[in-house]
Amino acid sequence: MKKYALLSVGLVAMLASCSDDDVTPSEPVNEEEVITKMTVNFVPEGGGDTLKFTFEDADGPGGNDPVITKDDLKANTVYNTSIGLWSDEGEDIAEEVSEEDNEHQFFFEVTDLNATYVYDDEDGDGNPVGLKTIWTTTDASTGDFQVILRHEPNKSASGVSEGDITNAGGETDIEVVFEDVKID
Amino acid sequence: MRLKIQYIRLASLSLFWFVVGYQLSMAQSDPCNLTLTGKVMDQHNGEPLPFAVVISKDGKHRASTNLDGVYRMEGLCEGTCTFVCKHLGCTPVEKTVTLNTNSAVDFYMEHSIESLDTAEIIVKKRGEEETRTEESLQGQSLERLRGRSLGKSLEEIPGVSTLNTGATISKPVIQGLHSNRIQIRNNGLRQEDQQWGQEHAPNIDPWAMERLSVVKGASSVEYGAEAVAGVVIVEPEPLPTDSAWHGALHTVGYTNGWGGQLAGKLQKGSAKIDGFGWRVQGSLQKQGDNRAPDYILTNTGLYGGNVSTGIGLNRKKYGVEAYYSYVSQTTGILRSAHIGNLTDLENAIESDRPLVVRPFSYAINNPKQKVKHHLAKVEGYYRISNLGKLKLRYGYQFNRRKEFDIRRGDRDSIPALDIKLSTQTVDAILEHYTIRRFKGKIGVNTFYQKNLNVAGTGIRPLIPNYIRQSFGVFWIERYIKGKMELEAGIRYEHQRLEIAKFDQSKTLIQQTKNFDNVAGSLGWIQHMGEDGKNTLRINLGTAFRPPNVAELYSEGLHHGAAAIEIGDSTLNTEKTLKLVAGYTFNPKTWLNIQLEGHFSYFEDFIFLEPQDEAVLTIQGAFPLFLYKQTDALVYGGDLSALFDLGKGFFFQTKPSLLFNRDLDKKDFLPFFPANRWGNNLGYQRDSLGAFKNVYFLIRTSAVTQQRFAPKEGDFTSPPDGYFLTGIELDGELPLGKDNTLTLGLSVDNLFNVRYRDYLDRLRYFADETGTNVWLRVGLKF
Repeated sequence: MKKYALLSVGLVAMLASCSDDDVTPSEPVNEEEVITKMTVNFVPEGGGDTLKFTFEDADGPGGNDPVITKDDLKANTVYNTSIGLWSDEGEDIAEEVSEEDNEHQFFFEVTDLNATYVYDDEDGDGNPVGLKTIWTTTDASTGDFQVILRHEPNKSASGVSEGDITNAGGETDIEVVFEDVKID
Repeated sequence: MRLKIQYIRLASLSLFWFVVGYQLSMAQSDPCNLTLTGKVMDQHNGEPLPFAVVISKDGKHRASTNLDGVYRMEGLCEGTCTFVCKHLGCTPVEKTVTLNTNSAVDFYMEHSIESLDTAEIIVKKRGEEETRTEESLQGQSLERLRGRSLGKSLEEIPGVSTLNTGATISKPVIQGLHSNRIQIRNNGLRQEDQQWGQEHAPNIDPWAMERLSVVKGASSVEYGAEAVAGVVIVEPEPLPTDSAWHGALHTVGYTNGWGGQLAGKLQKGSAKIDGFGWRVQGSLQKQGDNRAPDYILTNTGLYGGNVSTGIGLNRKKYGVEAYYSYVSQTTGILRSAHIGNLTDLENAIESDRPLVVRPFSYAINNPKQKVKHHLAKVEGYYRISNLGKLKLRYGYQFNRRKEFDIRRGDRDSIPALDIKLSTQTVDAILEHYTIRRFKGKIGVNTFYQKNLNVAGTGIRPLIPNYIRQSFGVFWIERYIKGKMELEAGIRYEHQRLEIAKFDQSKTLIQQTKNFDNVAGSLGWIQHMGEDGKNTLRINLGTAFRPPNVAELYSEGLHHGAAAIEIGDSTLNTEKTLKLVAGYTFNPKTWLNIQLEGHFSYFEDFIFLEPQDEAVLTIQGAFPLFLYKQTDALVYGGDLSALFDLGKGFFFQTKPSLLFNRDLDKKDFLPFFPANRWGNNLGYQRDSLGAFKNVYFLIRTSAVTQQRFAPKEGDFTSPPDGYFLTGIELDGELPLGKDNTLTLGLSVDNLFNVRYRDYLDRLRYFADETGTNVWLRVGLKF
């Protein structure tokens, strides 16, 4: 009986002996794919200060709350607008989007704001991308301004190339609302 | 009487009825009046053997032993007569007796085949039946399910349902509980393959298995942590000892997904070396996109391959066996279930059709899972004279799981999740022989597990790296007297969990947690009626489950669920008290009833609780879920009644009820299966023309809408109830002396019903699969 007991103890010890392993990861994962910062720059045609809208969430989804900044737009002005996207490590994600421009499209929704836009760029198939747009403001107003980026939308679906998101499909990579934006 | 029930409750009982029936049919007309009595015992340990048969060599007299191994044969004549005693798995023993008065003759039987665990299960001896309720699928009832996944096969058993992610990923649910609340024992080893994930199906090849059993009841005493609701036991048949070559080749084809499977096995014992045998087995599988009644379920194909081999030497005094299996599977996940944010999910829910539907294809694109699982074990037993049987088992498992997502840049070929899980176990169990009506076992289990995230995914890991170790000891004793068995057991287990990860602010977090737990169980089996065929089983047990790493350390966005899920590293062990009571009886010769009730009380039940606030991210706002603990009740009942309608026809009805309650919030808990009721009408013949074992079944199942679900926290209300119909036709064609051709045809969802199931994670996106016609052809030699 004793020898069996010894045998089982031996086997148990064998297991226990490999228990000093280390599982500490050597470095944190660099999530270069996660967009942590978006800027929307409005450059007035014919000169003037660049107006900036930014959304920054340095630690990604969850954790600390994102920081959102905005400027006031001027009435009856035409703006050349461009979007910048970055990862936490400063990777230029707008560049990735423009490399895969046929798989991406930005959409913009305004509520109660007297502003309209047209796309100012296109992919290889002649469809819009939205990294560059031209905005025109009219009367003074206050409302919300929303930026949406869809991955793998159906750009040939009805209305999509005109900026109507209804039939776009795909997955949402960005959905940011700048609330109470002023045109004055 | 001879009707074969679809799932075999206990092979021993059926055999018992058979023997009793046979005995009754041998009406005595002999005027002689001598009586022969005696006991049939195991030669090695003197234990009584029930269900043994004693036959006079002239064939005129026959008796079987009762549960105490005692037989009684009446109406014998004076003179010399030879008697043969037979018992399944034993070499027949002959004795010649000269009778002139009433006599007593005992028989000592020697087991001619002895295998590690399985042979004993074929006919359970006294003291080895579960006091919890146990049901199995094996033999023909398993053959008819060939080609289906483990989870889907187990749905045949009352009280067992499945948790699905589409048609191809399914996990067993025992009386409402799943994942880390049940244990799956694969070949005697606790299956370790990241089962915390709802969309992580067990990596087990059903083709390698010849017996699937479900033990319902708290089973922590014998099996350790996580055996809260029960245990699924999957095992291959015992290794062969017969020196002839045996094998089988099966093909399965099905129309929904245009899939096919090919499986084969080859095995042989040895004439030269007593007890030596080996087996090799393998299977291949491929299917394309499944089809719902109205559309193709794009990207739901799969392919996989499995091999296993076993070799062993099994003798009466000792035995050793080695087993290895490798399972590899690539599974596509419904393309339209890939969403970026809550708006996408709402759009998907509002749309009648999935947002991405493409023509049928075998191509598997992202999102997909690629999983490989290796399992190896070496085990042995030794019978120690006058003490018992000592078993030792070492197991090694290695699981590599890669999940691929739709990503930006050229990252589609880089897994979004890549984890390696290695597990080693050593078990030592001593089953002692009967001492003054007590029979029992003492065991030691050790467990060492390492989880490593493979670097290079570019995505913060879902679960941390960790080392988990546990050490458990248990002792179970059973008192057996007459038709009664009483059992008591206790276990102590220590678990140590060391984790290491970087948190969201890239700070290294290292934690060690210790969990000490005790579990106990009390069981009672009472055989009733003259022949003991009515059986009452009651088991009251406690079980424990230390929180898993996902519950402790999740932090961030769960993409598939469109939710931010946050773990809590201070969670306590979840504890359960579960009562199961089962009664099997035959109120009429043509009616067999199995009635089961279960009641579980949970202390610190761990679940994801929806929060009022939302979390703002660059992809929009997501609902926040926190892992919380509450006290809960889960209870219900399962009935199975089998009516023998005569002339080979039978009817079976299987209602299953399940209720749950969150006691703290006075609400329901999410993700419990809805009530269901199965009704089957069948016809069975042992032979029909050239065919043997002909079996035809019309199967229906009605599932209600889940009303016992929380009002809040889900994106949509539970789907409506549904009613499904299926048919099965099976038969065997003997080819020559030793070969059999098996043929099977079945249809699932015969009427192409459109439905969604509450326990399917993809119910937000698409309907379940429509009609599927299966064809099975096999050759056994």
